[in-house]
Amino acid sequence: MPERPFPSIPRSAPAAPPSSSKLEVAVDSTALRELTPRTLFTNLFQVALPTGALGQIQSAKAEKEEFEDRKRPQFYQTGDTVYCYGPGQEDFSDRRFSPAIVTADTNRSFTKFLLARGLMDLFRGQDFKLRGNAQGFAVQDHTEIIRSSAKGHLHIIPQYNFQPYWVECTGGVTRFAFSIEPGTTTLPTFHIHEGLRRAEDALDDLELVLSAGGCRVGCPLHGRIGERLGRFRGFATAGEALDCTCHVERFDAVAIKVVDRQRKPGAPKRRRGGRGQKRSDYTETTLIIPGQLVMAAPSQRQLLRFSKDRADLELAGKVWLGQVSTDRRIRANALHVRYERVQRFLARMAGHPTGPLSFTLPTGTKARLERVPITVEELSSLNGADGRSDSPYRDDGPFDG
Amino acid sequence: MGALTHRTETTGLSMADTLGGYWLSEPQLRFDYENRQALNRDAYEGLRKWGPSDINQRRKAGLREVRAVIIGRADRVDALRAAKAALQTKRLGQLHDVFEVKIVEEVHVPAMAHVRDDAKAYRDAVRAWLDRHRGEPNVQLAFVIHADEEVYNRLAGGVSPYYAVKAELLVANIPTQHLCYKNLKPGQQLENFTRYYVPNILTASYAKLGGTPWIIQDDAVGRPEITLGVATTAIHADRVHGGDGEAERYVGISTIFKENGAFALWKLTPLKQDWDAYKQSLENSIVDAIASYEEMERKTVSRVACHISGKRAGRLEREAIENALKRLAPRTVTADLVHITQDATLWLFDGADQSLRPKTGFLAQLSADGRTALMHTEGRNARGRKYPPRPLKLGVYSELPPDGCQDIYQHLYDLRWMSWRGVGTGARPVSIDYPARMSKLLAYLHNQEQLDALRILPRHNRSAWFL
Repeated sequence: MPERPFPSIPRSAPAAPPSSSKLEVAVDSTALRELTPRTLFTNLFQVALPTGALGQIQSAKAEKEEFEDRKRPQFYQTGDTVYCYGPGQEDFSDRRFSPAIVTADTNRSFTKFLLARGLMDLFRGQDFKLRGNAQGFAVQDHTEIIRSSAKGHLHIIPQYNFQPYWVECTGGVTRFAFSIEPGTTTLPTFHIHEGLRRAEDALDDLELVLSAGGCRVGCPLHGRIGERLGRFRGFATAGEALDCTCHVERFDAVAIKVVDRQRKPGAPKRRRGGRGQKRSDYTETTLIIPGQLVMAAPSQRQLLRFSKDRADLELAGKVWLGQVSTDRRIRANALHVRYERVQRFLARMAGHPTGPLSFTLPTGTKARLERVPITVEELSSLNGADGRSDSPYRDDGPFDG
Repeated sequence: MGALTHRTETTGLSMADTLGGYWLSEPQLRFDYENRQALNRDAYEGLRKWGPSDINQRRKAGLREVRAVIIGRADRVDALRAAKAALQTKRLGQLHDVFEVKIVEEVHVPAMAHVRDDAKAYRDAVRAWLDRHRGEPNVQLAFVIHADEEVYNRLAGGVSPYYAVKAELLVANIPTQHLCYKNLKPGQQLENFTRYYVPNILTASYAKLGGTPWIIQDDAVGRPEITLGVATTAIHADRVHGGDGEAERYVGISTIFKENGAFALWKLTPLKQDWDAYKQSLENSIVDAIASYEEMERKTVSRVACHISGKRAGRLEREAIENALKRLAPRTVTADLVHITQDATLWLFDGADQSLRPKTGFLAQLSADGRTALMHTEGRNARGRKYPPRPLKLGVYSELPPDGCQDIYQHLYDLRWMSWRGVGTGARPVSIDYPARMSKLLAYLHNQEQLDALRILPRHNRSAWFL
């Protein structure tokens, strides 16, 4: 065990972001009734956009990779067209680009992209952590702790998944919308310490985030607090030199190996999500750093394996989602619970029980996420005599083996 | 209700903008094929009253008794005997005219101190039993009782006797059916087991032994002659025989269903890591599957429905199917190509019901031409679990018929009622459910059991061993 331990790790839930009146908005039953259509409806929430152009945008036939070294303005590629948008356009000069009038319908993929970016910026601005995925993004709500482990090192928190869509309504009009669904995720608050050595194999491949600052200029960790550093690859062997020596005066490091994998410049493009990607397309950098400086990244369900409270934590998540009761009985109103969760979250973000959520696209255009979801109307029956399905099933007990 | 009616000044967006949708019909199921009256929408009632669809073929072949072994822990023999008695009760009426389970042997597995040792104990006990019979016991079916999957996931890293026993008996050509101890507790649990679980178990067992419990009754013209269900699954290469340490390898699963929805056969591709090689092998597998079917049924097909599913299924599978169908030239084969996403983030609700849960069978169109849609397959009026599965997000990639996609979607919905896992257990069309089950088992057999499943499984390609 290190003789100079890392300063004590708080055994409590993480701090909530700065308090805001938005966090206190309630959605009572009257408001919920107002937000719940009386017919069939979806979890798609329309986005109100202005008619006309989506802001100042330029376009060209080009490849986005040509501009990868620029932080501003922003670029988006669709087919052989690159759109240039956002701040910094006044300092950008490329003869191939010309001003473009881009409306919501010009390129629906681009519109969805702008909507997602705009909403993500809104949540980031309120200190929420986001996680992108192939379909959209997830907002991790660490202001609400559903359940914590007994030792306070692992928490279950809500997560809201947003995905942009465009749909065609019965009037023939196209509408953009976000699907929103609630979920749960893990939030760890433990550093990699000596006591985890016995679980070294189980920790392999765990994503790690730099959680402590104080690294000097020149250190590979300098300025990277809050960033994902890479994946855990075991404890370092005795005598291996640390790549970060900024803290040697403060505590004895529990040295670990962290591997960061980056795609090689010029490596052939592969489908996202790992399909068809080869190890040879990537470079791997290994850092040996004090484990006390990192925490496991959120949203890694493998973390539950470490916790003796795993069953309780998982149950708490399912109870929160309305799937089961606290005594593990399946609930019949899970959909109602999920819908209410979404509306409560939106109310907090909107600062109003029923009002829309305003946000700004990266192009500067204002948009609004409406609170009443898109409904579905029944078209004339296409099924002749059979008509609507009306199952004769008895509803008298469990059936699944 | 102000929020529902206000109109914005931006796009003229009206809260009255809605999507369109319609209800799908629940099909009639056909039992005793030679009895035109043998129709019912309820599989349980139909099997009891008329027996399975192939009852006459089995009568003519003199098939009835099925010899079985039951395997369970030595310290829970009471539960084993209770299960044995329940499984041999004739819960399904006319089915038992051609399917009567007779449990002729018991295998008692030594009790282990910890569940993480269960898989090995079961495996060893089954091997010893097989050795006693020199690898050819005189049984056709095995019932295996153990703790449920949640226990093994929580306490044994997911290593379960389910896969251990399945692997051993697969090699010995004996299908398995698994039961959980939690359902065999004396009293109400056991009563529920006998009343509700046994019909499912017997139905699945019948199918695993090659029987046809029911088919879809349909007189509609133009129904696809076969349905091809295609899914891709990933096997982690560090557990693959002969793997070279690269990240993942892929295997394609093609299942074929007859015009009446009955399962016919399945094919697997070899394991591939390179994407282009995988696509080619999937194309070959599909051509092979169709050829096998045509040889088996002694007819050629001209209308095919292709249902693509699985994790991250996409353009590659569509291209493989399109190329495979082109290889059937010079004859023309028309195909409906439907891509099915099971984990889309879209849900349907019914505001007219307190639970918000819709009834079964609604289809919401996400595009005006119906090419993209959301299908709700299990609603509040269905028997079974109360927690609703996600709706299926559908995309039609073939040319749209002149009258729209209704027939394509209705056919897909009909297949939702064709699961032979039990008499009320299906909630997904079998063209996506069966490949998904096979995929899960394949991965476990490779990874947990180190079984060279891809070499052994093809000999079972006309068996629904994965149910």
